[in-house]
Amino acid sequence: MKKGLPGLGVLLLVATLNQPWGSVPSLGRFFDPFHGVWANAERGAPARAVTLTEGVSQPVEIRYDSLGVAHIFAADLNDLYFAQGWVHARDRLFQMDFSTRAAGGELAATLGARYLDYDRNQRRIGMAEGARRHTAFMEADPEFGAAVRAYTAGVNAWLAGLAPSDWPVEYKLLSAEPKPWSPYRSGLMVMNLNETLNFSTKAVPLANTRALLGDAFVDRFMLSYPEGTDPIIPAGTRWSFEPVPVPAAPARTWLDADHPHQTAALPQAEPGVGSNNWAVLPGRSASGYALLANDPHLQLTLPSIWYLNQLTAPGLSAKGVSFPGVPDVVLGFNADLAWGSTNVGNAAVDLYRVELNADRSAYRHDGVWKPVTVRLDTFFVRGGDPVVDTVRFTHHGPILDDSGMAMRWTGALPDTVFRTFHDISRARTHAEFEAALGSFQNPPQNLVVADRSGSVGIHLAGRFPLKWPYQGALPGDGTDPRHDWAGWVPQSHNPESVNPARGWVSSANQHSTDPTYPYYINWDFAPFTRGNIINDELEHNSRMDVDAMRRLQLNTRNRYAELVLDRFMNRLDKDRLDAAGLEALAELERWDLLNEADRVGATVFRRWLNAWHRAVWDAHFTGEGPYQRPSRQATITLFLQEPASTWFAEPPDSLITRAYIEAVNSLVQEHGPLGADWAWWKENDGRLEHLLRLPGLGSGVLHTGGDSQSPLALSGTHGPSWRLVAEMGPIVRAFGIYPGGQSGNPGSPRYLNLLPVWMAGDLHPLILYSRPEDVP
Amino acid sequence: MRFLTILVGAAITQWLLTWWMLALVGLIAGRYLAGGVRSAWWQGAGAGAALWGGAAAYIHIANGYLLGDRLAPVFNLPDGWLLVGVSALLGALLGGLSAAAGAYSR
Repeated sequence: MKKGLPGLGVLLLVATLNQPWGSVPSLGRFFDPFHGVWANAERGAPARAVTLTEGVSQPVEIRYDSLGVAHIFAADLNDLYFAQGWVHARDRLFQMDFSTRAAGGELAATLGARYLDYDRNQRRIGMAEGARRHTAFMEADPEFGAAVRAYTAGVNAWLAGLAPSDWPVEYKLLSAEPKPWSPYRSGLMVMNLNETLNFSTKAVPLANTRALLGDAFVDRFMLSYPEGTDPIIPAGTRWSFEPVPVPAAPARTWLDADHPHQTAALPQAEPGVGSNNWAVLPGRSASGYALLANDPHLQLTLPSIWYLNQLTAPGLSAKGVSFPGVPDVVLGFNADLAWGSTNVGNAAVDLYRVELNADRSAYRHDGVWKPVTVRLDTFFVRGGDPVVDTVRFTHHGPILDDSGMAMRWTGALPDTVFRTFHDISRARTHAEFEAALGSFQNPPQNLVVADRSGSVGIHLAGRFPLKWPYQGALPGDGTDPRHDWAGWVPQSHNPESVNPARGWVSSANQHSTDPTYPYYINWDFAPFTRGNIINDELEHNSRMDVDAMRRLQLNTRNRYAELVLDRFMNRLDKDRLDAAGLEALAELERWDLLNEADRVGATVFRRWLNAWHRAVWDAHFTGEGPYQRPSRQATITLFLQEPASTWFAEPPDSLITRAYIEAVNSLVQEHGPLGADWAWWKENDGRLEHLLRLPGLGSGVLHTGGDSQSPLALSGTHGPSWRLVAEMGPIVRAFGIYPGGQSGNPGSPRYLNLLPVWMAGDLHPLILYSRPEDVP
Repeated sequence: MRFLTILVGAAITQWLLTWWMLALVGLIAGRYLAGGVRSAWWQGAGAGAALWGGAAAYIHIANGYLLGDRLAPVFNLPDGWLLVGVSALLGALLGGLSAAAGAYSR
């Protein structure tokens, strides 16, 4: 017995090393050099040519170029989409799997109880239910449904060929297993996009601001058309339709009795999410061919949200970026047409204060009690018992929490966003492109297009609720039927600009139209800054070319500084500054108003502007909140128009000087005396984070310029997630890049190989090859 | 002898089956091949370290240090070579303990 004891010890050791402990993976499995994490270390150069023969009717040729861009050549469309699913899974399996689990509220099952609240919120707002509707919609479409099914089969074919030792690193770290793909999970990708781009409301903080400072304040600083805006559809564009009647806005008295104050976390757009696109008519292009550029700004993750591929089969040849998890090219070009997208940012989420009876089984609406619908959501929890959540629904939508606030969101509507991109990638002319937009619903996009005939345009694609002006900006009265959406804006009334006289179209998430457009889209658009700079640069260059387009994507002009820095410096009381303040001022005087990587002036100005903005409104927002404050843009406009406004609680010079001293002191405290640590790139903190935010798997802080208000809109973990420039000559010349790499494997040379190209501001030539043997 | 037996035996069986084959091979080699407990410990630990550490080191180099250096910070380590070290240490522990236990059980 005694002699067997050490043997028992070995057993115990094996059992201990076999077991994951909390967030520590099974150490035996993980460090096993044959099947553990070391098995994910790629050795030798990645394969450039793969022939796929299983699961397809005829061999599919896949060629990777020097940067790992996948080119798929298939004999029919089913094989093509099968191969695309296979290729996406090969490079991005964990990303596809994990992001759809997150979308559908399934994280606790893999990661444990700490994700239960996150999951519960995802289900409550309708992510899983919406995905089911999208899936049914996709599957009912004969052509797109077939593409989704073939894609699904391709993902699962890759998965079936994997041994546990082949699973991506993240599964080994989390001690988790990949889940098979299904069309439902492509439906979750639709909801992911809707949530990222379209799920936002400031209604509660705005209602609190109204309660504190009154209607006049809210109307002046938020719910009005901002001065200085150069809208997406050029101001003065005439509307070619007879508007349908828009309901009248009721008086806001329903809000007087009730102060929403603290409602549980509600969706807010992430600051800095925005995008640029523009297209130039042949008359303003040096080559005489139309030009197009697009750089959507999204969260910069590793792996990237995008995957670069060319899809070629009879009936389709297109190249550009796709979303791993969905078939087709989403943004890119084909032999005749190039397209790009920015987010409209319409008011898609409305909140309603609902009145429930005592047992919450009914709600009052239009003078009668209507039954509340109940749905039970079950959550599986790793290492724990399943949890059931009760979600109550009114006709508006789900009740979000105990405060009795119901939500209506267009994201829950079944829609066709990827079907639209499926059609766009096949369009040969601007007219065919427009025909494809008819079915686009959500999330509304500013789609820019250029074709080889020289036609360019920008189209607001999507479906907008028919509302009274500013309806939903404040929480609605859920008992009053006048607050229900009155229907939909006819999609033929969506704003568009086709071959305008000024010679270009552009968008940067600013207001869609001038105030003459008869329908309400939103009040809360991106500031006018990026749009103004892009239009200014396009106006001053009547001979644009590919390189000028590329340089405009890299433009780092600071519009706020252009507007106020001189005035701020003139009003600064220099006698109150210490040595550090004077030294920083000298930097500001030298600064060229560009947010380039090493500019110290950009850092000082950012801190100064923010401190001033905060100081202006701290004097008025004294309660608990949360409050919606006037934006920096609105505050700058107030300062420029009325520097002596009573909203400035102290004389402007004093406020400006106090803010300056605070800004410089904060920099000295954080970084010591003025030096390299004050450089803009450090302040801006631009970086790519791994999906699991694991240290080491991100990029670290990037030594590069940019700012959320510049065309190069890099800020923190948000920025240009894809860049495309295309020249629409007889043979389309296209160039593109995204930050990151094609492979999601940190053990691959292709994990980050596109980043240096993106950092340098270069673009990778994107050639539409007609045969696999042409791919170099 | 035990060193080579464990190294080769574990390399083959572990490659074909699973990570704890090292412990099984160590136990068997410790019990059935000649030598004392102390020597079994050192030979088993050496073989385990050579197998796990050697394979990890080879892969780390052949991979151009990409994966090791990216993953090291996940474990609060400054360098990928330390991950190789962790692999070697685990191999040594498994190989040494199992071979010593095998020898002791005789």
